[in-house]
Amino acid sequence: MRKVILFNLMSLDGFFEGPNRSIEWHNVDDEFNDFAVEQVSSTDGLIFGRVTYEMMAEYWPSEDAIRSDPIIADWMNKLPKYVFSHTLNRADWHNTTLVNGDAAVELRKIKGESGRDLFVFGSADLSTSLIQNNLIDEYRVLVNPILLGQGTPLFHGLKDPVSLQHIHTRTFTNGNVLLTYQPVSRAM
Amino acid sequence: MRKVVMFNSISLEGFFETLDHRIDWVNTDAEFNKFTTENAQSDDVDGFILGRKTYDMMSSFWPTEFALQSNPVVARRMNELPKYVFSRTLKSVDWSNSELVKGDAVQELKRIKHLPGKDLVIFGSGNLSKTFINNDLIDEFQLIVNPILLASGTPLFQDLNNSVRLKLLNVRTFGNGNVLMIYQPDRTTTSDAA
Repeated sequence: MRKVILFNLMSLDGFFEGPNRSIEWHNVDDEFNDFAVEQVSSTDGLIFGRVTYEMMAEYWPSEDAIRSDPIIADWMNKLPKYVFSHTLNRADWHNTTLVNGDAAVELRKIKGESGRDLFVFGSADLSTSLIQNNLIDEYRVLVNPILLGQGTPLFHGLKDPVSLQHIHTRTFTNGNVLLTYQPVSRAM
Repeated sequence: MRKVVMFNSISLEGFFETLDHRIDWVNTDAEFNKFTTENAQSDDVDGFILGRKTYDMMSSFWPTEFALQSNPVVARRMNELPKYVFSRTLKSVDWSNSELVKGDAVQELKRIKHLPGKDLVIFGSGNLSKTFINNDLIDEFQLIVNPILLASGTPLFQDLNNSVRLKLLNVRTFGNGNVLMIYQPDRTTTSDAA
């Protein structure tokens, strides 16, 4: 079955975005971009909640994105994307499927289809529901060297603790630390 | 000037205790205990900074027979070294070598940092830490990220006034899945850069 990998940048105080959804604190450089390219070229499906979808659908097809980040933009635009939302009526970003039903049920279906591993980027609310339903198979948290002070917590609203098994640590020269975990017990 | 080093175990989402103040999820084993023991024996440190709640917890644990037997080196060190307890409500502190600090926390910590001596370690103490971070009085952050999502708990870093850019100094991964990350404030950039 396809793995679902949650990937996010997080501040040391646990936020994935600052006030007003700010992400300009993201610590990115060539080494990070190489890593990001490696990641998007290993998948053939991206999973988004509505809010993250709208941000990404506005950014990645733009001239600005294609100019400043051509390789990632190309991947983001061409990869199959699933947006989980009860309120959207349509999803126009290239190669996007709108998923209106129950998130856990629908994701189980997608996981059962043939294909490579799937990534969830951003999408904190959707992630909460997927974590709680034991549908995340791998956590990749890139801890950025900053205390934001204020912002939106990456992990919030979980009902139960989740024990994790640490798989890997990677330290980037710009001070980012990638922590990779699997859930300890996973109902397959 | 003496450095103030913040040392804490946190969950992946950044909580240092559960809402009912439990820390029994902190992941320890022989390798990790060896590390904390070596840390406790370090010659670089000769004092601790505690808020009231952390003081209450630690002063009722480290002097006990149980602590002395199960963790003798750390217990002896915790009991012996000078402890500064920042509290406006405590009337007295009975733990050996503790000093009650009742004045303005920022002024008092500045005063203590200027006293001759080695580095100081601050444990736990969410509120006190917040005040010190907001006043740029923490010189090093040593955080041990435990492999768990607690779901609910108290964030170690709460509601800071400004963002603080950090410089990563060191990372160590333990066999039990704990990851120690050590940072310094990056004082070469403005504190509200984000």
